[in-house]
Amino acid sequence: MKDDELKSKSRRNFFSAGLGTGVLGAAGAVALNLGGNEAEAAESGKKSAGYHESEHVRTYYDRARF
Amino acid sequence: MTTDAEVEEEDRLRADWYGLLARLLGAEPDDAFLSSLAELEGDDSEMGQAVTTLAKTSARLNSEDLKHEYFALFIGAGESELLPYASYYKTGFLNDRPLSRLRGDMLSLGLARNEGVSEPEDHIASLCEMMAALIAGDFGDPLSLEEQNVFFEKHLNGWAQRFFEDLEAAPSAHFYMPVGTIGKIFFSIEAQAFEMAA
Repeated sequence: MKDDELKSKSRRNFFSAGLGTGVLGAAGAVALNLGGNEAEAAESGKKSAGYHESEHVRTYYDRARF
Repeated sequence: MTTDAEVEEEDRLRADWYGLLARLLGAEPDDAFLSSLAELEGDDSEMGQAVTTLAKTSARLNSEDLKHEYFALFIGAGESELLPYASYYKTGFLNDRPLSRLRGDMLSLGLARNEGVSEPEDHIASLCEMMAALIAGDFGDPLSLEEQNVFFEKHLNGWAQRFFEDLEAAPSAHFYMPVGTIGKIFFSIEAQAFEMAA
């Protein structure tokens, strides 16, 4: 458990250092800013289907249900 | 769904970056997206500088400009400057083995293309979208780091970095130049972080 915590902490530091602490949250800020569906999808953690508008990524993933 | 608590903060951030890249590359941004990007402020880091450049470029351009740029870069059969597909980067051919391997993995992960979409799944935007969803657990339990690493190694690592370098240097890339830089930096951090975790 402790090893995991250490690993997690060092990964977090690694990302902060690599991305720059100033821009770490930038991507999330843009998504929030655009609001609406994205934010709701992120909150519910369920459906982000159709949150892109182009043919390229109008991809819908659905976990097979048994 | 109660998976949120299981996703570490840095993984949530990674998913956000994959999601942003997917959105940037999946279609040309509309005006609302551009004004949102224009509000970003970068710091002095390499990534921060690229973000600042993207913000300034977003403030300068409109969705009509972006339509032309996106077309020149990615659309136009046989004439686009770039072909953002894993299969093309790995084999020189579209719809080759890398795509069938991806489809096999998508099947076992329970992922499928939206109905009516003809675009091959190995488009960089689709792969970024899948990574975001797999990390955040949008469609089930989040993948463990090891499982993420397998998917990343098999379907993104290497060619994605080359693609973003090409994007950064593409003749028509104005808005997409800093997008290329951001993708390049992000994927190199991802690759290093997976090595660290291994």
